[in-house]
Amino acid sequence: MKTRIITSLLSVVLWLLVAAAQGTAIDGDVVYTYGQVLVHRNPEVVPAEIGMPVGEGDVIETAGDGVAVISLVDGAEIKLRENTTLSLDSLGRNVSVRLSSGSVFSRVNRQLISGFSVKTETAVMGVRGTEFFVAYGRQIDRHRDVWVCVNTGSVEVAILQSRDTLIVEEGKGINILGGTNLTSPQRYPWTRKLNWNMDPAAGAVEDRTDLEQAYSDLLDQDYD
Amino acid sequence: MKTTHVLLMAAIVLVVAAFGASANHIPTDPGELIELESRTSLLMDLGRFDPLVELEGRFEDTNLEFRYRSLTAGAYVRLLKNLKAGAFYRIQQGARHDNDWIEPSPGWWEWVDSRNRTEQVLILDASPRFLFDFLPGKNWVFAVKNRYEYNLYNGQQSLLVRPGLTYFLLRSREPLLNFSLNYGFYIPLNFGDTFLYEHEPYLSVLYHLNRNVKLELTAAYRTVVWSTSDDSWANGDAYAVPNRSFVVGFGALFPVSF
Repeated sequence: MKTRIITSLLSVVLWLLVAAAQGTAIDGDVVYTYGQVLVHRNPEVVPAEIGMPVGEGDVIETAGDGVAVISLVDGAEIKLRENTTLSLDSLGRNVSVRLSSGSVFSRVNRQLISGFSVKTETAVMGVRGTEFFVAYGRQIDRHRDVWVCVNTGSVEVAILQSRDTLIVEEGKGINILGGTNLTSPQRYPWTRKLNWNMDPAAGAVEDRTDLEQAYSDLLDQDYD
Repeated sequence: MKTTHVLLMAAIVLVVAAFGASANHIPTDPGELIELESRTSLLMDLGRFDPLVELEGRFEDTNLEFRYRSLTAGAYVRLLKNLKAGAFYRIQQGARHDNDWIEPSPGWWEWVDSRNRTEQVLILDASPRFLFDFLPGKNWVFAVKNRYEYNLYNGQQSLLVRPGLTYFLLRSREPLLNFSLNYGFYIPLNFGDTFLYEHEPYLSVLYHLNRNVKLELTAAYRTVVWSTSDDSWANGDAYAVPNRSFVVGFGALFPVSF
């Protein structure tokens, strides 16, 4: 028993030394992967594995079949859906991540983290609550639409260019048209199918919700 | 044979148009009437299955009598992205058929009062729909509604073929207004003397008040062709009389997603 404790402690110390040597702060780790998931850590690109540490500056990328869950030591979890690229810009008690493509679920422990935001190319979603979803939608205007859905708590959405802000309350969602025009938050039926679970032990983690449902299917608009 | 039949009926229509007005044993054309119709629909969205319940009523004839009323229930199923099929049961009162032109007493001709006559109709529907996003504005859908109806009361079978083009005006990526132009062709499969017993150009505007309430305004120029009834045939008559009317319709639709 004593030997096992010493061995574990030595492993952690060794892992810390390796991480320090690589210049990476130990801010979290990969707790779940499915399909192809890559971690870009300049200049390397390595396949993500469960237990792999991640830190500030890392970029996590999932392929068309990929899902990953990242757990941050300061009290947040992020689930990346397929075809997603997420940069861990700043970690610690003030977390800022940047979504370049795809979609992510975030769960934040507000008692441990003082600030948590998800940036897209045009907007910033600042967490006031604990659980929310951000996804790129269709590109109809110059920039892509951005969908934000809040499961618990609330999220402040801020448009970078216009500085317009809006609070999205629990249970509601918003489509930021072209990434720049705020619409009224409302309860979107399609968000009921989102899988918020991030714990593999509690059930399926993958979310296969077809985000095309977020848009009106004109071929289904038949009323007689 | 078919061409001869059509030409014969065209000749009948011309003869009736010329002399029919004075022949009281033949249904007369009351001129271009204005009639009203309304419907209220509950449309449920259960994924691929879309059950539907609809109430319809019509105010018809010169006195705008509330004659026709129906209750339709059934469901659509989306077989393919571009194809929906549906099966429905309808119970109706006040429907008028060719054989409702009767001679209850010698020399006296009239339409049967069918307001209390209950009929049941089985309906099968297949409607392919295509996005015509190459048109200006992109949000266009072309659809062809094909509907087979079997009336259990008199065994009449008919086919509705209604091509139509709809433009969707979107606001915040959601439909705000639909503008549709359709043309309905009603083909009798086992009755009547004409290829079409009814046809109509049909305009509709649908206002999406919100996700669960849609309001509809329609306008149609309807032509119904009455063919020889059994009583008229027994009297030695043959006719195909067109009746035309402007029909204005109102609808309230309530889609519900589960």
